[in-house]
Amino acid sequence: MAELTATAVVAIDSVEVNGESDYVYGANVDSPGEGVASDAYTFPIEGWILSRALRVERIEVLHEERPVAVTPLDFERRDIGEAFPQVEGAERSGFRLAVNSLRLPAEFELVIRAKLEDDTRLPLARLRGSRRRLPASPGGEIQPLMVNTIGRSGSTLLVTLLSSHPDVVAFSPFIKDARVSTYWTNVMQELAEPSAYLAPFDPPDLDAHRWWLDGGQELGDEEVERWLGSESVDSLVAMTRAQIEAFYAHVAGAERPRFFVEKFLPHQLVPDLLGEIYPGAREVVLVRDFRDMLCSVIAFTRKRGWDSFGRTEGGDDAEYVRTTLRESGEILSGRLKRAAARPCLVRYEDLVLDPEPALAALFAELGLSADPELVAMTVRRAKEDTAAMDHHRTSSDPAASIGRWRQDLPEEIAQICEEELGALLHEFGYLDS
Amino acid sequence: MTRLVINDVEQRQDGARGLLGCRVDGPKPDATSATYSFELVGWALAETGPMTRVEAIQEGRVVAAAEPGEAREDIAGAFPEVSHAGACGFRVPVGTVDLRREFELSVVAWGGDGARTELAKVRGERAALPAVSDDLIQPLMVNTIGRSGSTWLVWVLSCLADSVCVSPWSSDARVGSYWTSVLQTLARPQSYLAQLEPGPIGQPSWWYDRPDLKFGAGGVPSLEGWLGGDAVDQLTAMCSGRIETFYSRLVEPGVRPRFFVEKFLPHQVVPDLLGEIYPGAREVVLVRDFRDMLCSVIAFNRRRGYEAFGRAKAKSDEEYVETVLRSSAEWLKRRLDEGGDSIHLVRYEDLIEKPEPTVAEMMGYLGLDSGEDAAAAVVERAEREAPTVDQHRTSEKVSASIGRWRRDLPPELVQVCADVLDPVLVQFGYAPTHELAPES
Repeated sequence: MAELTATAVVAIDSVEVNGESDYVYGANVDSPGEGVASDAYTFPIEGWILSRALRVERIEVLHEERPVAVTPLDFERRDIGEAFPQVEGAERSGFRLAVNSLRLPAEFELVIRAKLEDDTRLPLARLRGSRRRLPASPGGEIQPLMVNTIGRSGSTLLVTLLSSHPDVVAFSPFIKDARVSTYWTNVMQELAEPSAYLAPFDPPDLDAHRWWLDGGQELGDEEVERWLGSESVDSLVAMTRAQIEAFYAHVAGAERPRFFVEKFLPHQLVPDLLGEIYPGAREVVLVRDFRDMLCSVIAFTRKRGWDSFGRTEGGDDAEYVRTTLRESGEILSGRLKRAAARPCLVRYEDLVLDPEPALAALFAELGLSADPELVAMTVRRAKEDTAAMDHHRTSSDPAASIGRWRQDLPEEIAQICEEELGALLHEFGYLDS
Repeated sequence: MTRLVINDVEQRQDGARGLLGCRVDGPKPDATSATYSFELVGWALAETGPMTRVEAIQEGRVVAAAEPGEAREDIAGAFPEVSHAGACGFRVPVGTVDLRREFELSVVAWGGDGARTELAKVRGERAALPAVSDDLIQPLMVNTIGRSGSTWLVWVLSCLADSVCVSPWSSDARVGSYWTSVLQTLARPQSYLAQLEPGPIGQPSWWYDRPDLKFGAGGVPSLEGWLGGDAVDQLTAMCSGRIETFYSRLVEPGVRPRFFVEKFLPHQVVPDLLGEIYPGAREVVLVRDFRDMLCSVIAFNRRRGYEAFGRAKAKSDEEYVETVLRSSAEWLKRRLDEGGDSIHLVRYEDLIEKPEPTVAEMMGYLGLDSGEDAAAAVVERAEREAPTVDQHRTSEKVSASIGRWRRDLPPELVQVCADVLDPVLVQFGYAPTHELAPES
């Protein structure tokens, strides 16, 4: 495994190139090779591909099937032009793109592939590597308590319950679904892109919209460029923490809570980054029987009249189960096993049917006071707060919503749920219920 | 704490062709706010169809905009025969960190047929942004137009023992402009409200300048107020901290320069904002005979093969003089007039022909040792250490560039310069065109 030294920020442990295919004369990923890839958080990927018949539309770099960098195939490669003089366009068959490792977890696996004009995706290489963890604070701030979940899993109820604890602050979860830490972490990620941190140097048009986000080009001073891409990014982390802290300190008023609580979606990287920069960050993975959840998504979408939770009105429920729901469930399952912020598992059903023991166990796991009187008071306060949440509900009584899938789901969709989600349902204890 | 006062809202009194009616209902005159933002609320009803866009314009530049379409039952009732009257309302949040402290905004609506109508003028004043300690490295701002010798002036200023800057020969660094632009963006309601009303968080830049975010989107007025007030003050400190981090990195450990040197353009609000934030900020307005500047722009663009310095905005050199050049020159004059003694004027010609006294005057303005020896040492260092920069020059010798317009400009362009630029040239101490016969 390549080691991260004091100055190295990104290291590549392995590169598996797949340069042979019936579709191409040849292809390669020239860099990075195995070893240190970069002394900045952003590292370059360079290579070439020469297609036989179909035009290459673009090169994609994916992490967990989501694109983290994309570029057209137009980089000059005289060497390839000379090696394939009979192939038109061979001299511009190169690609070069920059990957910001702040869009990746500390340990990552990337797939590089070419998208051909007929939508064929041609795998070129698989890269495994790691980046330096972002600098953590000593821990004096209000720490994140991250509720990682899929929509319609009872997350608003859980956030309300958690924020009713005197050591936890949240911004009125029934009024707004605030994402303050996601906001500032995303600001940090964008400011850490070379296109942003190099934008102050020779900006072509100071009046251009987004000039300070999109305008950056090479500076020509390697040392300053390296600093901007590494230590300066580290100091952006402190800025991010300070802004989040200011918000929650204001919301908390005279109190000094231990945690702020916010919701996150399974595919977000933000919880990983917050887990790096806050030494006391904790994560709660909230699940609900995915079949009941599906009923709730369908009903909620119908009631509100617009698309939400990754499902479209009138969309294909079977497809939704096979893709969005399954992927999200698998990510949550994976987080429970791997995430650094020691996630606690909470089942919605436990929270609704018998809240006090479920909450007491959660508080204890989070290191919060789980005194029975405090827990009872927390549940009472949350009930008062949630009295006005009719707009949020799709069944008359939360307890009645448990197992609703038996009445609400068409048999064929229930069958697909069992096929696609069976392992997950079993893992989370739902298959036998 | 009051951060904003609306002094006056001047409604359109006369009718405009095709306009059935309009009014800016908010803000009201004498309205105050504890935030740096306010919302333009009103309606505009055209005969031909719905308005497509409402803009708030400061000094000819759009600082906020929104699509109309807000429900207005009162207007629908007043114009029952107009089918689109019920949705002719608009709400445009305006972040005043984009504005000068004393501002005048023109509120303009665009019709579907491309017609533009001014609805009102809004005048007001915002509080100064909170100042940082004068222990931080302070901005020394060179406010000028391109091809005025600003690279040379920045280089000379960088040779002061008390200054730091990215070598102007390697890069035109705008770190102050960069972080001030970050501040301006994040201080807009359209950005900071996204924390409370996140919307499409899966999309890139979902947090940036979202046109769908209006006042009230955050749900809790007191918290929206905090985000638009105290949180903006904190953002200001964050951005000055980033500038400090950058320039501290450029100097040797233990060295504490007093100034960082950067260039600015005349129309930018950024120097105003930096002047509010930094108690020790200094500004030098650099001018050059605009006729020579024009020659230099034409020659530079010809050599580089593309139209820079705003030349692309004009169809001809004549139009360039009449629009871009005149406006920039007038900006600089206005800047000097409004800044009074707090801004120092440098003429390029003096810097080239009489460098020591010119530099000595500048050093005096900056509060540095301005003795002859000190100024001579700075000039000597600047000349000795300057790299050869052929790619920057458009005349063989620097001194030969002074008065080049008399040789280089065609007579018709000389006449346009005389008509358009002479008033401002005279104000900056240059001879009017007719007094200097062109050289054959």
